[in-house]
Amino acid sequence: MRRSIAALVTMTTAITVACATEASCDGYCGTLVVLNSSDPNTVFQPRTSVIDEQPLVEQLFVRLAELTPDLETAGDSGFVPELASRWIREDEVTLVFELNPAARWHDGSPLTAEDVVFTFEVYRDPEVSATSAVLVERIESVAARDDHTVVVRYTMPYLEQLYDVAHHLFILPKHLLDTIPRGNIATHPLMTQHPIGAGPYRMERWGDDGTIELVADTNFFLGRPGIRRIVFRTVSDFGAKLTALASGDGDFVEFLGGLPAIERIEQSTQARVVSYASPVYNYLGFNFRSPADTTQPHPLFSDVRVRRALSLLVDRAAVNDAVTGGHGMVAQSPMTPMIRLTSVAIPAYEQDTARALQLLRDAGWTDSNGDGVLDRNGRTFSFEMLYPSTSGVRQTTAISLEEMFRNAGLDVDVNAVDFSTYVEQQQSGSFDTFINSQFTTPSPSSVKTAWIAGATFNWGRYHNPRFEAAVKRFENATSPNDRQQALEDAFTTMHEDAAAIWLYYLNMNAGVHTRFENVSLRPDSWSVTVWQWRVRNGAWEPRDLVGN
Amino acid sequence: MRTGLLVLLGFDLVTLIVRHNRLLDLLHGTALDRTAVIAAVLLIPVLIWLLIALHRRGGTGRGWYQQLTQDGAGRAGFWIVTLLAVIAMLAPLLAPFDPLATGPSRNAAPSLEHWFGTDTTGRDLMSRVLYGARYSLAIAVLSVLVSLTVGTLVGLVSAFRPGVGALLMRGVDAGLAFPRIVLLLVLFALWEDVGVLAMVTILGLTGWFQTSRIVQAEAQRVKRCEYILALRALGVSTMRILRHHVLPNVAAPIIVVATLGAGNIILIESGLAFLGVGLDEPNPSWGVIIFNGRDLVGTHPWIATIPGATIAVTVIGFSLLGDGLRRVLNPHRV
Amino acid sequence: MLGGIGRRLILAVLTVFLVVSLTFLLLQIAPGNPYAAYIEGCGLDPNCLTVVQSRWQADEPVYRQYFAYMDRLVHGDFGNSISNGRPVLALFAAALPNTIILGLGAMAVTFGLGVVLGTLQAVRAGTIIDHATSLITLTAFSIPVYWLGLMLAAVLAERLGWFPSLGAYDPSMYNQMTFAQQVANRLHHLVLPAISLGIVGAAWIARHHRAAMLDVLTSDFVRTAHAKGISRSAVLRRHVMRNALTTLITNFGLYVPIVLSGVVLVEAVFDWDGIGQLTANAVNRRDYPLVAGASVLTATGVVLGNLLADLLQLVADPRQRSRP
Repeated sequence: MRRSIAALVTMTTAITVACATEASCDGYCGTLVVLNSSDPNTVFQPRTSVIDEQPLVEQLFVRLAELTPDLETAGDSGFVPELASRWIREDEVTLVFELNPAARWHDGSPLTAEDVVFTFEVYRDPEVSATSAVLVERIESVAARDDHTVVVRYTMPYLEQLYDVAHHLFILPKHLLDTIPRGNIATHPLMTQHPIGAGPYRMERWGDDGTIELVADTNFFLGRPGIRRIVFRTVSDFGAKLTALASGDGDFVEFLGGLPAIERIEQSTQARVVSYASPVYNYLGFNFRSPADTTQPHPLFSDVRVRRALSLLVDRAAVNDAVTGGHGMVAQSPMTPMIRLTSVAIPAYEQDTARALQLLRDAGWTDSNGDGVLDRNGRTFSFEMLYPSTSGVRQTTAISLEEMFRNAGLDVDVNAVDFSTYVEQQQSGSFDTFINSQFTTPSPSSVKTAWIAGATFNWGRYHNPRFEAAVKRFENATSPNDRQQALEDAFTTMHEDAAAIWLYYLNMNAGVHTRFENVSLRPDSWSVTVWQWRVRNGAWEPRDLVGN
Repeated sequence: MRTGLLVLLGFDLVTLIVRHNRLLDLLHGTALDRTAVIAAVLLIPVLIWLLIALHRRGGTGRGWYQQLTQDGAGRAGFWIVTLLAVIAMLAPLLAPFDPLATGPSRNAAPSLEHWFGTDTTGRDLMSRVLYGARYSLAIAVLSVLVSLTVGTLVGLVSAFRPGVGALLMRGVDAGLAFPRIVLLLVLFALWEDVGVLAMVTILGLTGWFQTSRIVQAEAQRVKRCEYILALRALGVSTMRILRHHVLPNVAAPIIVVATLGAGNIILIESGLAFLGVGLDEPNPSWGVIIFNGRDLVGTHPWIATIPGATIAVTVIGFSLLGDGLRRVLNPHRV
Repeated sequence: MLGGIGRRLILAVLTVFLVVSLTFLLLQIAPGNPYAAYIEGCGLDPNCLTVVQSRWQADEPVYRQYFAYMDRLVHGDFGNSISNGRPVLALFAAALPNTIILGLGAMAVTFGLGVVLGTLQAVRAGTIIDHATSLITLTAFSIPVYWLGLMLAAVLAERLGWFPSLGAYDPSMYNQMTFAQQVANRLHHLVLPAISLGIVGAAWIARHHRAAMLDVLTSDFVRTAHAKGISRSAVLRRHVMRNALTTLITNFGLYVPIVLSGVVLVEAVFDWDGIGQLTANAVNRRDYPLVAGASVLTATGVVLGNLLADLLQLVADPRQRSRP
């Protein structure tokens, strides 16, 4: 017994001593442990579906040019060179790119203009992805003038030409993917096991358990990355993820969520909170079609008076307060704070219960039997509010909204379902209202992804021709004034139509280990700048020095 | 004792009538769910009554209450469970706030105004914990009833129809082999909207295996008894034998299993809530409250700790009571 | 005795067969569209869905599916997981060792702590120490296992930093470690989850062991030995282990379900890549092939475990051999 105790003590001491040894870096060091929520499946960007796949794509592949932190998507000057060292505008529908001759694929082959042409052909192929095809639909052609010069022609003049070709395309290796049928690229081992790209990091190991290890490409043509390794680790339980970050077992969590988590990380000695403008807006969406039969209009919400009434019942400031503790912002449109809108006037709904009830009365809803619930022709005003049980933020939202609606006489059935069921019900349109968050891209045209008929994320099946016409005018605008005017028209239309109840923008907060410096997070994609982060000298952790 | 129970029953009915509207608001879910919770809470004094009646049948002279409370453990168990039942019944009167009403002071530490503090949306924790007793008790009591019924039936059938019985018992082995929580997870995944009734059904239908084994073993033992063989030779019907000879013998061990099982169900329900399965917002079941506060264990520990402690105390109560009952209710050899 | 073993074997096989059939039945009742969870970002884009849809089998008449299912199982083909297309058996085989390690760690805590506490209580029976320890064990038995895990992680991992807060090992360094370092790393990660899982069992074992030890201490045999001059502690030492082992063997079959029920929760709290978390995640994502495969394999494991316990008992206790 005594001997075993002694052995235990010795072992414990040994482990503790090993962990506490002073560490220093002799060569190239640094390991960033990123905590994912789910396992990435593929790095073929047109078909990525899991949010944790994007940071992988950013490290493994390059774009022609990158947006600056200002995120100015209109015009030619809001970008810094990446694969393209410079671009020249030949006329109002033609851009010429000169590629950096030092660019190499991870297998050593040189990167040429043919790769850019090939990438464009893949992206515009609707067999690959309807979404990406739409994104590049106004690029008429991409051709190679010589090995390092690419000529891009557009179907018409418009302000976001450079954005369309530089931001959306991640350049793919033609010499490796050319022979694979386009529809199979997403599941090919070259995208799911050992991808080859030209980005600052290359794939070292993609484990069965979702653990991915990237190693810096020391020959990256823009310079050696600051951190030698990036390890992606999947932790499905959010609480465990926070604990790991707070205790220093993980280095980065993209989204901390609500106030409690933020406070916890602020109090931790291992990690700190980094804020950035929100790329997400949260809203209460209406289903414009009947859940029972999507060809029929919704019995409640196809009436604009009802939608306006509900919009007037919500005290957005109170909801924002409850969810974000006052740290977020009230949302007034499907635009997010990171999008540069030069003083566009967006109308908003303020809480006005009297007017709301009046509108409902106009639509025939009164409390005829005094039971506290509005009714019409014997049917009560009852509807379901759907949200995924995985989101604490939406849970708080649901609780606040339900109370506001209940006090006005509406019977709300709050329904939290697991994430699979949530997606399923959204897809099949079997819901009444839902609490959703939607990502935007840096461009205002991202409103197309969710509010145009037939759009990928238009769960509520919203269709307003006036709105769509205004969006089209915005996209084709060639002057900033026209752009602004079109955008104002679009939002005014949406406001009058009460298309959805915009709620809040969460103040985006990420958690980063304190030992990293030069950390900046671009709102639309945090990992774009990772290759420039560094570990502060002298703050080394044991995992930084591995394989040094 | 009897008068005490009658008074409690009366109290419960009064609170039902007086707080009628609040209750309907509170017990979210279908009308069936609300009825289930109320019924279960009302059942508790009835069950205690039954216990007395059952034991009086084969009385050994000393009242069961005296026997049970002879030692400190049994007494503690009995009073904890009784206190819980009383709290569950009187929750609407005891709770200072509406358990569903959000408030401005979020994550507030325990204070004079909020004795247990508030949760992430500002709801008073004490009110939620008090109402949570209703959910926990209701689910525990009703599930155990389902398990008991199914288990007893299966056990009796297996004992008296050996052919079918063998197959049923293999089914019981299979059921016991399946990890219960995995089975529960799978079953709950199939249900989209889980209310109290769904929980009770699923929990009840996954918890009867041990009971059936006990009943089957005891029934078989009794069946082979000489006394019984004589009775059957005389032409006494199987039903009478079951009622007068098998059930009283079976009652004791399954009451003990049921009591311990009730405690276990409370733990399971909270575990399922922790995994995000089963009951959810805004129902104030103890598991849901813990789920609400699980990310704040480091900074605001009371939100998860207080319901956790409540669960622990409740389970301790049921364990002690079960142990005490086991000592008291010795099976009667006929 | 061979008859006893044979009978038990047949029963075990029958039980597994029933479990498999039950699981198949559950799969059939399961609502459609199991691939909904894998296409978060796909929206209503039809092309995006096809990637995942191809991993889910087409419909056939039920009875034919049943035989096909059975046939595949017998050949060891449990299908592929919908979430990543990898074979279910491989995923399970990768996760199983982690759960076994956790189980063994928990058992070490359970028996180590349980035996120590039980002996302490027996030696000091009736005193304050005995009663206080009883209260502590009762409380430990009643605390929700995941709550204990949360508290341990919050205090020992987050606040004090003595132990890692998640995982079975540290993937950012594991592959570059020596074997000894790897073992140490795994042990370091094992401590908190094993304690969380093991304390419940420890309470339980303590109670049983206390009773067994009391029997020994008050027996005539001990009093005789005492009269002969052999010290109490010498007698105790000889009997503690033997009784502990007996407790272990007789109660092993009951102990395993207790562990398994806690495993899912502890694995969730500590992000332990064992079969508990594998199954729980699969259920949440409606990954039906993985759910079915994991459930069947787990149940089979439990049945085998019970069989083993039964056989051990047969060997250890000859009195039971003649029983049918």
